[in-house]
Amino acid sequence: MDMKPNSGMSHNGTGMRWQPILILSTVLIGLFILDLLLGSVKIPIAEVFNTLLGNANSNEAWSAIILKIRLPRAITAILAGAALSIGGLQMQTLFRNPLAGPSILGITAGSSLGVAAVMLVAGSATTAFTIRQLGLGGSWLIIIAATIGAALVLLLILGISFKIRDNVVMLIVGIMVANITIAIVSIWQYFSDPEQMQEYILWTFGSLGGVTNEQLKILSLIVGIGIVSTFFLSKTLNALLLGENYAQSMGLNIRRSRILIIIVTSLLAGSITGFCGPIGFVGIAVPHLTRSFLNTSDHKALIPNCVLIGASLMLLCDIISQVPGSQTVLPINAITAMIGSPIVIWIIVKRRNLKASF
Amino acid sequence: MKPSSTILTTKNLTVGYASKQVLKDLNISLKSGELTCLLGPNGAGKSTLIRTLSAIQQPLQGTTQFFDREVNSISKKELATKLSMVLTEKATPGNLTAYAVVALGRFPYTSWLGTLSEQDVLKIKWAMKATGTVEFANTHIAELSDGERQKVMIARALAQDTPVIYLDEPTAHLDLPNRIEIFHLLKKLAREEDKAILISTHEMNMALANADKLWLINNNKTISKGTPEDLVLKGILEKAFTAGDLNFNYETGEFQKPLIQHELTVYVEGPEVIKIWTKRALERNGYAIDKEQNAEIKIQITGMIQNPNWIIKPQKKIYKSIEHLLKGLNTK
Repeated sequence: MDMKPNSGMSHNGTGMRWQPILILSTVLIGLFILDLLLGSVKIPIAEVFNTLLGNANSNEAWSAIILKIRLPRAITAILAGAALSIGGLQMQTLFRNPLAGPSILGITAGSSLGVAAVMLVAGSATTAFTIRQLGLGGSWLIIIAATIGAALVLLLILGISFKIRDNVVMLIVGIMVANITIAIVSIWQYFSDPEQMQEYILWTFGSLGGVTNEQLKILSLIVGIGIVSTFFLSKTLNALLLGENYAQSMGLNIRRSRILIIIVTSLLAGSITGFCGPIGFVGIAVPHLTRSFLNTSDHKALIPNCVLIGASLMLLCDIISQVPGSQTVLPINAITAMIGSPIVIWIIVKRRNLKASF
Repeated sequence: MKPSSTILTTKNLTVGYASKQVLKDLNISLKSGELTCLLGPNGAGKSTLIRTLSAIQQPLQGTTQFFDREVNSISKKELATKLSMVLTEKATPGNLTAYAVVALGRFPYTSWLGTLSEQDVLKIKWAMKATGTVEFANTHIAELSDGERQKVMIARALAQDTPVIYLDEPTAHLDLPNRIEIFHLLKKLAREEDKAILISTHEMNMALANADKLWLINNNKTISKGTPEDLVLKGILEKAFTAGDLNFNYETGEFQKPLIQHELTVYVEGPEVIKIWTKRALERNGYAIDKEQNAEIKIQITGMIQNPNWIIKPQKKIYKSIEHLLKGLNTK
């Protein structure tokens, strides 16, 4: 970014402030390193750094664990946390609704439908997911199924979006589409074998560990595009803070902005759901945490900080889900809510500006 | 003062919805440097007209020339550089400072990132100064009172730097001192900045006191236009509001609905100010005021404003306050 913190922007509550970004970046780097250090296998700190710096490691198994398991996993956590958080931020601003999240329009439900279609119908293909769980190679099948499912719902939502003037109506329609999608999955589940269902349910727990290095390149690219696009939308998002009518009176094209925001959010949420399964909570909580922490609703400040806080929180959740020192791995979807909720409660009670911030 | 130029003219404009005409055959115009009040009761179609004039809503018939072009043919982006709006709805932009809200007014001029240039900052500061909102530049909008917040929204419209500003019921949520201040501010902006300002309101006394031109919504879906006083003297204002059995008081410029409870009429004489307030008290208590000396009851006021005496003729008893006077009348 080639933005200078000139005086016209850095004061009076507009534009970016660098101090929080520095603090949060430090936290993020710290958690990233911690995530690489901790795991079910104990690896000496020096060896971890050695491997990361590209030096030969005395123990090949260790370097394999670090480079093939822990590193991709940590990077996935960062991408997932960042993507879901700014996806949620955009939905909350677009709909001026504090309970909106990246999955509000049914994009995630669409992914679930795609995955359910693969797992529950093509019974034998489910083994692919088992392979992915073991980290021996990703299942493009699942990813493609999830992407197609998300894309179909997205197309439906966009189709409706062209016909609707009002964002509140859009929100309700989106929630209804999500419910229909979930209902279809439910019916599918009802008529499926228990074993097939178990595979599907396992997927719904979410996993940061299934993304291979190859897949990670693609995921990084998509999330990167999503984050940069969101930053380009910050002016639009700020105008929407005053409500649709004011935004329109300032020359904002409401329909076009809405479609752009929905596409970018779908890209972010859909790709993460495809690669990691549905991960809840982060997308709703992190935007609130960020607004509360920064004491502003200005998106130019919120977006970079949302990325950093989302990524940090996801890394923290990943560290906890590994249960360091044990062989157990807990489902990430449960951890995000279990860790995230107390943090949100703590901040609401401590800072008391959560509501005013929205 | 610059000679004012006509900015907006409508020709046989009919506004409303497919199922319902709201206002019809409007031939009205806006001039720069003037404060125009669109006056009408709630539900008369004020918002519908403003939405149509600002090209948010299509007219049923007729045209609106805005800077010599049909308003609906102007792109939204260009329109935003000519026309800014302040809406009835309470904007809840979340955690933004007043400065940041005003800065949003620069939306049509900033680059895609919304970065403020030096000129933008100057405009913002000027807008805040003109509206008296500088002191809470760094205060978060949620912490401001309704009146302060509305001034910030007006500052935002000013920062948008448009020759025309529409305000839809800008004082709807405000108390009287704030209402007066907002109207005063808008009148000042019309004069000093040569802006064409259109305010919709249902508050007749504010409109009568401040408007250069009145667009008065009549009972028959049309609009009468003119200087407020002309409309009053021609009896058009009185007619526009004759939905109920209201009486228009031509002295105070207010509508009244008196509740006559007493058969006796009262005549009051004495110093002007005390007389006015005594009459008000009597009317409120159901006495009909007679302008002639031959009323059944005569009240004589003597003494100074600080220490008046009321005497009910032909009685000789002296009352020291209006409260006592009313009691004395009741026991008669």
